[in-house]
Order: sequence, then structure tokens, then C-alpha cells
Amino acid sequence: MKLHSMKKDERARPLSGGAAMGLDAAPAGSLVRILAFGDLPPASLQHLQAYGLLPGREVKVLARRPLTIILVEQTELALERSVASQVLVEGVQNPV
Amino acid sequence: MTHCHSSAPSVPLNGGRIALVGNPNVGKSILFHRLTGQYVTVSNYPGTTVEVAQGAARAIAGAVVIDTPGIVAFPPRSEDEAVTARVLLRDPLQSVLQVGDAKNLRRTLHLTVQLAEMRVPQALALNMMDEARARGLNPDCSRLAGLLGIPVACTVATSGAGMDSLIDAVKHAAISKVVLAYPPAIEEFLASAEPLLPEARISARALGLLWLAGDQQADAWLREKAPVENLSQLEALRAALTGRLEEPAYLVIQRVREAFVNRLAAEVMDVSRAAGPTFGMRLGHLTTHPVWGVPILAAILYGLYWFIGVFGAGTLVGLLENGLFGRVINPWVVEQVQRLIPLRFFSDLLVGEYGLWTMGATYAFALLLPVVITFFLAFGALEDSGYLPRMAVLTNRLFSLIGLNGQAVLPMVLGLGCVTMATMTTRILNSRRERLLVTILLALAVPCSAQLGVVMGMLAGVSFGAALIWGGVILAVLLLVGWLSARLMPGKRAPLVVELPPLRLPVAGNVLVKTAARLEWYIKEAVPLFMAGTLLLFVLDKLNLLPGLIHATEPVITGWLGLPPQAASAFLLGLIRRDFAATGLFHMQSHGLLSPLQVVVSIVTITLFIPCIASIFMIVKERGLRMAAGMVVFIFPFALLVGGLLMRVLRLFGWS
Repeated sequence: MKLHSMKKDERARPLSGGAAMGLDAAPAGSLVRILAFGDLPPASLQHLQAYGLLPGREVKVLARRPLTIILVEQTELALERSVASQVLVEGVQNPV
Repeated sequence: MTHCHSSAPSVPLNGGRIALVGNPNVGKSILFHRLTGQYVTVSNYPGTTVEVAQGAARAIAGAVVIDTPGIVAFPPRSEDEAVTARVLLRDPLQSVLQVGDAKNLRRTLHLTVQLAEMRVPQALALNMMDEARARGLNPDCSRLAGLLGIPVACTVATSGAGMDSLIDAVKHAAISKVVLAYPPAIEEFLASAEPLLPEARISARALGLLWLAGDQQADAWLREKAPVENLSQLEALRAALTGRLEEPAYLVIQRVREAFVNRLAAEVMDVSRAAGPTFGMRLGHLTTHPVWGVPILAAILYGLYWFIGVFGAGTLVGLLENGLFGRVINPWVVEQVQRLIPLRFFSDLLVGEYGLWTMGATYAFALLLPVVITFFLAFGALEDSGYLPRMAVLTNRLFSLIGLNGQAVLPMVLGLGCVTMATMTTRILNSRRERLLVTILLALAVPCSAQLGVVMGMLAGVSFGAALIWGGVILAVLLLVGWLSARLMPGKRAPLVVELPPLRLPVAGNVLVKTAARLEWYIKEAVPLFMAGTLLLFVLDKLNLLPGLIHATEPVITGWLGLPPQAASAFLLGLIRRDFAATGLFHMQSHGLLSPLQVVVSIVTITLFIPCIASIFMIVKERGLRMAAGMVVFIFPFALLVGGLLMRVLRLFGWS
């Protein structure tokens, strides 16, 4: 899929072949881009979007346990697995 | 420096109202205090139960500043946030001062854009510039002001930097020139909807967008003001639009704003370097670390135990009760009263065994006040440090066992301050089910500060092991009852999503102001009840009913719980406020009337009692009479049951 882009820039390679994954599966320290939202109640969805979790945004994954903790701009947000797994993302940059 | 030069106001500002609006955790309240100084009133916002502070602006003649609750974004999601929407819709505002976090520029600008669409004169304070710079972020405030067409001030609320330019910005608040173009379907909806909307304090366009996004406040306002035929026309328009859009209207609107905000942020934000994590950030990550987070939590809890239990309830109470009151004040008061009032009945009323002074006032001021002060200080510092939401992350798994999420830790920890207040804060929880579960657990198994300090003092007098037994039993009861009621109660558990604000060193002044306010509330609330309770005991004693009552409860107190008969009067008092009972037991312990086993058994029992009459009133108010009655009928016998069982178990393990 994005194999040729790997050669151009080693660091900006997709994490798992560029496929969409749940935010809960992204490794700590990685940078991911939000693609879409899965099955979330409207209230949870609006809550996330109010923090700037919108399609196209890049967020950094800070931790996976005990909860998924991400950095949106400079705001740290903790999400339980059942929510994080419904935020579909693609890898932008591996943990450094 | 923050000297004011308001002698030449550029616009007449007599009687104007200025609303402070912003995301949570952006330093809004500190800026509010800097703008207003000490003449501040805190009261329920009209038509709501949410408290809003208002004060006269120091540097702007005639202007009143309103501090609204922090809002993540419109539409609002909680009762608190709804008040902010209500202020904008209904308050005759002269201007809006948005307080934004400089390091979260895009999130700040999302709200700026929404305010711009309302077409109210606005100004922006980009606050926390120090934190932004520490992260290598340098927003250009004058550039931003030019692009938005509103005054923008860069500030650091904690140090007071930028206050002059802020006051200037407020005086020159302007209607923004920003107008976003939405996709044709939405623009057409707005064009047809605007003529149907009644005249409002915000623009028809903003009102239409809020209503389209599902804002409850906008909806309620429309239902109140718009003619019925307009409403049905609007609803038809909205239904037609929803059919044309592939995504929810809310998301379509958000995407347009996001694109604009991204462009704007890229233009004004100068990122100097990818700054490494600051010390505060590293420490913050450690506090939620799956391994290191637990010892940090334990250390904080131990620190609280030491400060409130050992220092407050031990050292300070010792100095006050035995020293000041026991040796100096009380002997003098007793002597004066007995000299001035020869009638035995009246002197007993003041200084007898159940005297208003010797029991009521001494308990309230010598035994409880030091404990409550140390608790409020510690709790205020903890609140300001940003640590509490991190506790929600660490405890989420624990609370998921009892059908809740980590968010419940906030009312629970507040309950350690005052269960009555905490019962009110269960409103921050998302569902009725969670609110009910937390209310039950608060009433049963969360000791409040008034009592907690006495309990810690008593336990510190026995051993740390005794403290662990007490904590273990209370935690076990909490989990067991929580687990059972979560299974019996219908409904689904809500997942946790929580913001983790940066860890900050609490500002001493802020903590002191909060402590003073809570202390005032405590004195007004608890001291009269103490006096009433003492009076009740005095009357019962004089009517010779007390021995009978104590005798009637003796089978339970001495037989089932294995306590000395004097404990009965303490337990009777516990029906009014359980810290009465705890204080009475503390008194007995310090006079050598309770063995270590009896200390542990009696305080476990009393901890499980309902906190106080005020908390019962609050439960009735928040959850209804039936729920409150059910809780009372369950809790008292259950507390005695657990106490008696504990006594037998401890004896089995060789305690005497």
C-alpha cells in the first residue's frame, strides 16, 4: 500500500502496514492519525470531539495501561479500552 | 505589574456585565479574582442550582464580571456547562471575555469561533503563556488579534503577567470579523431558519447552529420564545437537512470549524523546538503508571493520614483540648458560671456533664475544629494539584467491579471532606444509576472529615495495624455492597473518559481562601447541630430518660458489640451526627475507658452509620424520600451487624 513511502522516510512508516486499528492497539510513544469513529454513543462521541478528537487530527499515545492516555495538542486525555477501541486510527510515526 | 490606569476609559462601561467563558482548567477563576479582587458574591445562578461568582471589576468602572463554569464546547454536556450556555443566551451581556489555554490553541480557537458566530463583543485572554513557552510553543497574540478582529491579550494568571493588556483588551472588546462558510445544505438551512427565529441576545446564525447541533439550552429557549408554527417549520427544515447530509450535522459543522482553526493555528503558532517533557509532565506520567502510580497513591494517602490524623487530631487536639480548654478556659468558665448562676439546673445547662459549653462547644472547637482545618487544607491542596483525575485513572478498574467508573472517585474523595456536599456533587456523574450507587456508598462507607480526623487520631493512638484493619473492613464493605447493588440495579455502566490536567504546585493563597470558605460553611452547619444534640442529651438526662435509653440499648452495645455501657450515649449521639459519636468515643479512649479492640470495633460501627441529619436531608432532596428511607432502614442495623461480627473475628485472632 504505502511501501514506497517507507523508502522516502524511514521514520514516517506506517505501524502495521498502514491499516486502521483501534486507538487502544497503538503502542505507547507512537503518533497516530484519527480516521473515523466506530460504535460509540452520541454523548461519548461529542465529548471526544469537543477535545479535538476529529478525523484528520494527529495525537500522541502516551500510555496503554492502566488506560489509554493520549496527548491531543497539549491536553492529556485518559480513555477506557471500550472507548479507545472505537476510535479508528492509522500509524504516523513509531515510538521514538 | 498590575497597577491600573483606568482613569481614561475608552468606552463607557457603566453597569455592563462581562462574562468570563472558557474551557475547564485554563485558570479562569484565578483571572476572575485578579480582575475583581475581594468584593465577590457567590450564589446560585438564577433558575439553576449551580453556583456562579460575580464581582465588580477593579479597573473598569461600573462593570460586573461573571465567572461561568468551564465548558468543553457547545452544546453543553452537564448541568454546570448548561449554565454557561444559559448566561450567553439570557444574560444582558456587554461583552464576553474568553479565557483560553495558550498551549491548547486549537481547542481554545474552537470556542472562539463559536463565540464569534454569536456576534457579541468579545476579547480573548491567551492564558498560561508560561506553560506554552516551556513546551516550545509561542503563539503570536497581536497576529491572532488581527486575524480574528478582536483584542487578544497574552497572560499568565498565576503571576499576574499581562493584566494591563488584558484590561485594555476587555475595554476594547469587539465583534469578530470571522464568518465561516458551511456546506451549501447547512447554509440553505440557516438562510431559511433565521427568519423563523425570535430576536435573541446572540445572532440568529449562531442560535440556528446551536439548535442544529442539539443544544438543549437553545432548544428550551426556542420553545419558550418562538411561536408554535415557527417551531414546527424549523423541525421540518432540520429533518429535511438531516436527510441530505451523510454525517450528523454536528460533525459536518465541526469539520468546517476544525479546518479553519487548523489554518489559523498554523499561522500564529511558532513552534521553536520540540521541547522535551517538563518535570511536571514526567511526574504526571509516573502518577498514572501501572506500577509506580500505586506507591505514589499510597504515599499520598499516608501523608494525609499523618497530617490530619497524627498532626491535626493528635498534636493540635492535645494542645487545644487538654491544654487550652482543659486547663485554662473550661475551669475559668465553670467557675464564672457557677458563681453567676446559682440555680443548679441552669448552670448544668451550660457547664454540666452535658453542658452546652463543656460538651457542645468544647467538642466543636477543641476536638473537631483542628481536625477539620487540617483536612480542608490538605484537601484544597490536593484539589489544586491536579492529582484527583489521576486517581480516577488508577481506580477505574476497582470502580468497574462495582458497576461504576473511575469518575466516581471524585465524589467519593469529596465525601472524605463532607458526605453532604459530596452527595450534591454526584450530579457530575452521567447517569441516574451511577448517582444512586454513589449516594448509597457515600452514606454507608465513606467517612467524612469531621469524623475521619477523630478516627485517625484514635487509630494512631492504638497502632498502624489497627488503622489497616479499620480501612480494610470499610473497603470490604464498600466493595461488597457496591458489587451487590450494581448487580441488583438495572442499567449499564458508563465508560471512563477524563482529562488529566498538568500537575501544579498548589498556590498557598488559593488554598487558604478555599479553606476559609469551607470552614465558614462548617461552623454555620455543624456547630448549631452540635449544640442541639447536646441540648437533647441534657433534656433526656434531666428528665431521667437517658439512663433508660442507655439501658435499652445496652444489650446491643455491651452484649453484641462488647463495649462499655458508657458508649451507649455516644452511639445515641451518632444518630444525629456520627462525628459526635466518634468524638465521644475519642473522649472515652483518652480517659482509658476503651481497649484497643473496643476502639476498632466501635469506630468501624460508627463509620458505617449514616453521616448526619444534614446528609439525610440532602439524600431526600437529591434522590427522593423513598430512597432515603430505604437507606436509613438498611444502614443502621447493617452497621451494628458488621461491628459485632468484627469483634468476634478479632477475638478469634487473639485480640482482647
